[in-house]
Amino acid sequence: MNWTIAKITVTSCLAIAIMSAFIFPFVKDPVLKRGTFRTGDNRQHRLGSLSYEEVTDLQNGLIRLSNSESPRKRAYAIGQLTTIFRKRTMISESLTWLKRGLRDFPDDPHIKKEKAEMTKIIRRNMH
Amino acid sequence: MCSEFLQRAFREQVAVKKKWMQQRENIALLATGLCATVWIVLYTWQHQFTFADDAFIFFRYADNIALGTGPVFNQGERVEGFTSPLWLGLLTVARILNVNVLHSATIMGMLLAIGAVLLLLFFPISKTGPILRCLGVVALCTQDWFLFWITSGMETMLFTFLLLAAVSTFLKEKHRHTPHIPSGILSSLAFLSRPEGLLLFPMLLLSTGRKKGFILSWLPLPIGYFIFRLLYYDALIPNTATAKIVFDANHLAMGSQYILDFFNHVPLALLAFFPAVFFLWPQCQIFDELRPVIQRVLISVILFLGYFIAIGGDFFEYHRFFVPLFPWIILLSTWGLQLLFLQISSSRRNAIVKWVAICLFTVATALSIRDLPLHSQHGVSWIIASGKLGVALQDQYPADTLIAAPHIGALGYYSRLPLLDMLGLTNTHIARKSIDQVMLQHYRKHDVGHERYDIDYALRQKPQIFIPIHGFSSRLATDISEVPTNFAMEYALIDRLKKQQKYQVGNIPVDPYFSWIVLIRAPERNSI
Repeated sequence: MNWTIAKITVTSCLAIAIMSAFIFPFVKDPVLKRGTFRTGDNRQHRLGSLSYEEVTDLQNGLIRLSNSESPRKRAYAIGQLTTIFRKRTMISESLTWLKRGLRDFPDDPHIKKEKAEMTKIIRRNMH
Repeated sequence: MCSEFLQRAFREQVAVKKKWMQQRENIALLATGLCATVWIVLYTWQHQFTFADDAFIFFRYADNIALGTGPVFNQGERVEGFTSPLWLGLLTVARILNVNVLHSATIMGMLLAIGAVLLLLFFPISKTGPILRCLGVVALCTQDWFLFWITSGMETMLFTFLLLAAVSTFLKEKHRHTPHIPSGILSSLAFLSRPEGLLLFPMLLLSTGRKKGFILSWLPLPIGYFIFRLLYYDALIPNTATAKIVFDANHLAMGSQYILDFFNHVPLALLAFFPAVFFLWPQCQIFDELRPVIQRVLISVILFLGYFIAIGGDFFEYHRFFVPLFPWIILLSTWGLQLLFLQISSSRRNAIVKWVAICLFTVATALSIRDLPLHSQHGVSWIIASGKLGVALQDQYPADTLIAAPHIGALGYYSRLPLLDMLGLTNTHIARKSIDQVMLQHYRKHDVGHERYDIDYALRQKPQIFIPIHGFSSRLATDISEVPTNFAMEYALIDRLKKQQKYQVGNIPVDPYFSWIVLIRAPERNSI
């Protein structure tokens, strides 16, 4: 072991780390921000090619549509919400919408497909 | 004359080649260290505010100490509801220096992770070549489950760093025949950062002939903290240990499953047992200096596995208990491969075996890389929603309103209201409550550490609001049957409240399209 190179490496790595530590306080606490959620974890919030903001807009639009008078629109919105929450790994939220879908539209093909997907997830997590 | 000239020329050529090799190795080590540092900094930046809910328990304690209330969760209730006095101490120092406690947890996590990587890269008496050292660091930095704990706000990285630092220092002291004072202090700090750090003490003590210095440097900090605990909290062990630790057959099975899940998820860890093969093989050559180190590290890893089984594993995602062990697993794997090189005398065969071993290690690392869906303790959105619920409660309720919940972290930190921990981490009565033996057999992974509860006691405290852990929802609930339940405690609570009808369902908005379903004492319902 060459201890000179060890000392050089440790010093330069710690210098980089300490200097970069000063940028962290520029990120504000997401809890104290007004409006919808935003975190550094983009993977959870992104959906395919859609950005976090686009997904949130889509989700909110669908929640409004889920109260529509038209059963066809309601079934569509509930099915889509189940899918979106599932893909965003918000499983309990997805289950809530799935339960509503199964209660109101048990024969809807999208809801049936979602039920199968959710069964797979639950089975996988149980083992 | 001619032969002398040729011999000199050959020696010079060898010397030049050695120097070139040495330079190449130095560059590889420097480059790996720098790349790992930059990678960890970028990861930390990308994953800020992915704290575990339990991290906010530390933050509230640190806040209370800084504000002069003392090391308590609720004002006036002296309960040790944290597992790491050292981590709390560091956060408190940052808080007193007026640094945001959330940012300081992230920055300290990052610095400790970089420290752990550098200790792994330059671990003394390793005997492994630069390729394996660099590959070991790559293996550490590519595991999502390991990196997750940098930004969790928990003490995991502190413990990981201290275990490595204590053993590295100990080996250096042994090599230089100097007193074991720094290593004694570091290992006592490891004990103060996690209770299982105690396992390090006998292992190091048995590895040295100079026991007196080690014992004398190890003892003062734990004894000092123990006296403080006895005087201040009136307890022999932390309340978290009383609340969480349960010994029974079901927990042994869950602990075994916890370990199997880890080895299934991280095949690289199986290579840690590779050196054991050489100890079973009588003709095998082993470096004299490395032999006792491998033996003791292997025994320590096995002791830790036994401890995980005994306590039933952990309910946290992402193999939290294995994070401090992972650098040791990597070291054992690389030592095993190095011993394999040593057995092969022919240089040609040596080169082939060397590349086979490197490929094996690389493939095992690659198989262990998973792109995990990061959902923190209960989900990143869940943690933020829980914090926002805390802010909403602080805005809407007087400062003496008692809230009861099974998740007290972010809710407690942002609400600043008195909280009744339904699972007993910060409540001595619930922590000492005996467990329902019938229920005990039905507990599963997510129930580990959440087995104790006392519904009668909780109702006697008359909390204004009960908050279910999974109440965060995009739909409004109108009936108690719609309240989501997760823990056994919540099933029992809802069952009782359905009969009593003293609490009614309410929805507290935490976001334009999300609210938290709660149970509010009947007269309070109109205020929402």
